[in-house]
Amino acid sequence: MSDALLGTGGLVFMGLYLFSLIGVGLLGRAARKEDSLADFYLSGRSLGLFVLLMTLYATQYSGNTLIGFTAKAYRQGFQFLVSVTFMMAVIGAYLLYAPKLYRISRKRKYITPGDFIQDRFGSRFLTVVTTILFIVALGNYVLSNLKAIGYIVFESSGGRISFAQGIIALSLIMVIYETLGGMRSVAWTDVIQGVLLLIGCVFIFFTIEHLYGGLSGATGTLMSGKFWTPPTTQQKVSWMSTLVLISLGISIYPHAIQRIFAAKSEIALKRSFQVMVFMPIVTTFFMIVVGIVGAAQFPNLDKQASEKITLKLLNEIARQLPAVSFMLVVFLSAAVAAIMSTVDSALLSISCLFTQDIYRPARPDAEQSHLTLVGKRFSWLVMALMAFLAIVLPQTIWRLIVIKLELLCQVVPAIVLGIHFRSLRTSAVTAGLLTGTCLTLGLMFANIYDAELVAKKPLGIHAGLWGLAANLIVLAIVTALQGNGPAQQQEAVDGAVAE
Amino acid sequence: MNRSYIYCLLVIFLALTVPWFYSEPRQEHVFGFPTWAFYSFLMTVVFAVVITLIIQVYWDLLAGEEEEESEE
Repeated sequence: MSDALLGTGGLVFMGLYLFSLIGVGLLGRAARKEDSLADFYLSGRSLGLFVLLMTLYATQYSGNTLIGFTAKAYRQGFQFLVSVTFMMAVIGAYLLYAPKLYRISRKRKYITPGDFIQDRFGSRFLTVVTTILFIVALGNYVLSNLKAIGYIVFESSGGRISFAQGIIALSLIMVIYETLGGMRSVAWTDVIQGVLLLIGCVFIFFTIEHLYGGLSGATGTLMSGKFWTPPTTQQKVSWMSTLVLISLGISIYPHAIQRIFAAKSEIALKRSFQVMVFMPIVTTFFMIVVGIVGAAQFPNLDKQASEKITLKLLNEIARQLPAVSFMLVVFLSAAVAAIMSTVDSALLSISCLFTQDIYRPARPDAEQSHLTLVGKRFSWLVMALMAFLAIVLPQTIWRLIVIKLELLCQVVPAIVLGIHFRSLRTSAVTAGLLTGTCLTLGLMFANIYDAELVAKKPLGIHAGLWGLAANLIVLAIVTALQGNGPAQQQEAVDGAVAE
Repeated sequence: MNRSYIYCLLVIFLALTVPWFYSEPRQEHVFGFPTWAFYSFLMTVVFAVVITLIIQVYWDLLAGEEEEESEE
């Protein structure tokens, strides 16, 4: 059993915070306007600037930002500044489709990205394939975050709360407030969680600055180390590949797209993006500096020990500055909050995708209240399954779980090109999507099977981007062979924008 | 301004955040950063400013307004 980071008082505080989220769930339920999918899953399309900004923020940044990014910065040094750029580039990637899709979604009453795919291409097959890709990616996301939450609770409590107990308790809290108020509850809890996340980052950054003099204080040590060397050509190619893969992948997350649909107005959406683009400076960048200063102060930790560098620094802060030790509680609550805000959004999106894109077409006459109930039941089922898998899956399987953004990238042409090019045919998009997905999975599984035969990133480029390149090439070839011709569905979509 | 130009602009500024032009380590620093890392961070902030300006000025164009006008 390790030493507890949180005493009894800290655990009580965190427990109270967690149970207050159920209170927010109840408030979300009381605020509902009608028993419909749009009200439950998109908060009645009523998210104003502040709530929209905070829910986008809390959802985009997970506990990984606070714990995992710092550990990576500890190991990779300044090269991990790439993460600041890709978090900003996500907003740039939204610009590829969000302005137009937002307007169309208001006219056509979209609830999921699958609604757009169906409306634009008129193909059940394509809609189901993209929905499955979305659900697999989100499921992986939920799994890895649940596992992280188990570790944090275990470490924070010094083993008083076991890994499995932590996962079960927090999963229960999340699914309760989510099924009580849907997107409204999730977005409101995101406000609390986003504020905590911001406070946590700012606190640890400035405390580290105060204690160790920040980066300038560590310059002497860092100059003589490997961090000072610029990246090699292959590393620069990989840097660019990371920027493209992650910015495209994150921007196409269904729960992110649904937040765009849920915006109250175009102004709220624009302003949210304009603020969001600078948030990596006070979040990702701060945590990278913490990781690099940690490397200067506590050098030569192995990989496993470096994963806990944030917690090690927090312990050091509590030892040297007892007056601010209460902030330890706030920071750990922020880490848990950051993970919860990501998991609850992904879970809500999974349940919505299933209900709207798979269940509803099979039951076209079902009433809205029935569909909402199906969605809620599905949330419970998925959460139970995810919690179970997070507890029992062996470590070897976790190598497969990293396949998220690589898959999501394959949907990018369907949405981005589909929204801008009228002549794009369903068959071309479908052929490209299937080719890209197969190539990506093939490369990734081949690497797992024999890492010497197939590199993880052939020529420094991620498997997902090789898949995306194949996707686009096949799409172009099929388009060239079949010739252009506006699909009926696209005319309908264009009409919606022009109205 | 055409929508394609805006997307090209985004890609160019994104690519400029990679420290392509640095290959040799230098024993100098800017605010505690090695020069190549400071360059990358600075260009990242410039990239963010460019995105903000594009959202402010060209949102309607990105939403397809020009397309509709030309059809009319």
